[in-house]
Amino acid sequence: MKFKKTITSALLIAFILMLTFGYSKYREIKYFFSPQTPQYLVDEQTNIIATWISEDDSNYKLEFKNDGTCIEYYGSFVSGTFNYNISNTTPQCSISVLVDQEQETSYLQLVSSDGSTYCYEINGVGELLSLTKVGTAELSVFFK
Amino acid sequence: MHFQLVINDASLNSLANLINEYGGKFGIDNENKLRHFLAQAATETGGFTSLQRSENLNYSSATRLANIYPKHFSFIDPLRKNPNNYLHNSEKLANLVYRNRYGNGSEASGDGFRYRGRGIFQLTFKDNYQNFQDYYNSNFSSNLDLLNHPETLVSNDPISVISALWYFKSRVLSEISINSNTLVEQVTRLVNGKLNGINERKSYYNKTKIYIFCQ
Repeated sequence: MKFKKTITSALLIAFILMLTFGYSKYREIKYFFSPQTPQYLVDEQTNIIATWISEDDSNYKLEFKNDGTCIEYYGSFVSGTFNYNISNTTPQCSISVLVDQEQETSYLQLVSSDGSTYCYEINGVGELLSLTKVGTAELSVFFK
Repeated sequence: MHFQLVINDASLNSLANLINEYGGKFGIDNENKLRHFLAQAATETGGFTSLQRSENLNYSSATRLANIYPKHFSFIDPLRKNPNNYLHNSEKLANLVYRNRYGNGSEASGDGFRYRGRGIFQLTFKDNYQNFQDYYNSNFSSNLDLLNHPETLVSNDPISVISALWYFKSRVLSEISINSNTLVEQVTRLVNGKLNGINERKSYYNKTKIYIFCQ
């Protein structure tokens, strides 16, 4: 009888633990795939992962990796290493920017190890990667 | 600080005079800063062949326009514009792609084309025109009216040069401290956002070491 009671208590505790653990995992997953993240941003975060070559100067390349790093090459040399992120928030590099989901605005931030940050509006990530430096009309176009 | 060119060229000497007169007021107060400024400005102007720079918004085909600005243009999505209607029409294109940004109004306001890229470093957008105008007027007791006469940035060489000094001050000197160890790459990222053509910028930078002396 006592053994049966112990088993029942253990099962009950295990059940509660499973529920708690399961719920926290569910919350993590829910957070990761937040329904508030618009689909176009999710697509851009996926589509940017590639090596992109500048149309104006084939020596200049940006390699976006899926671990959130971006390696910049000039010729065969690494000219910069950055952490990158894509968002639709303002400000970018201390400059107030347009945030408009209907126009699908989005911004790429490159942050170097010394903390220098470079911000670009993403015009598109598809056949081409098209960026404009925030606050300017400086356009950069890359192909895969 | 006063700098002198060791080559005899009237337009370059006029540029030197302008920088001598205004450079210090925009934080260009030593040889290193001057060299980086000139290397960047020389690249942007094709070796100072012309200071009268205005943005080129001509694209070769509608497909290219759609590939560069897919958020604005599509051949099939009715919610986006048909690029055929914007090809070879700089005014219409600028008014669309630069709308509602950095002080510009809607497409109908015409601000996109009115405040398109002009000057050595291609000052663009109403906020930048306004900020440069405000700085200039408050520091030189002037009443420059760029908002109503934006073409002044192209037609008036001194204003074009001074706008570049302001741009360099607000985009470069406010971000990094320039000394003899500063790399051309660091400055280029702040001016241009990318390292395209970096060798040309380095070449101009090296030339400044030969041809420019500060007294």
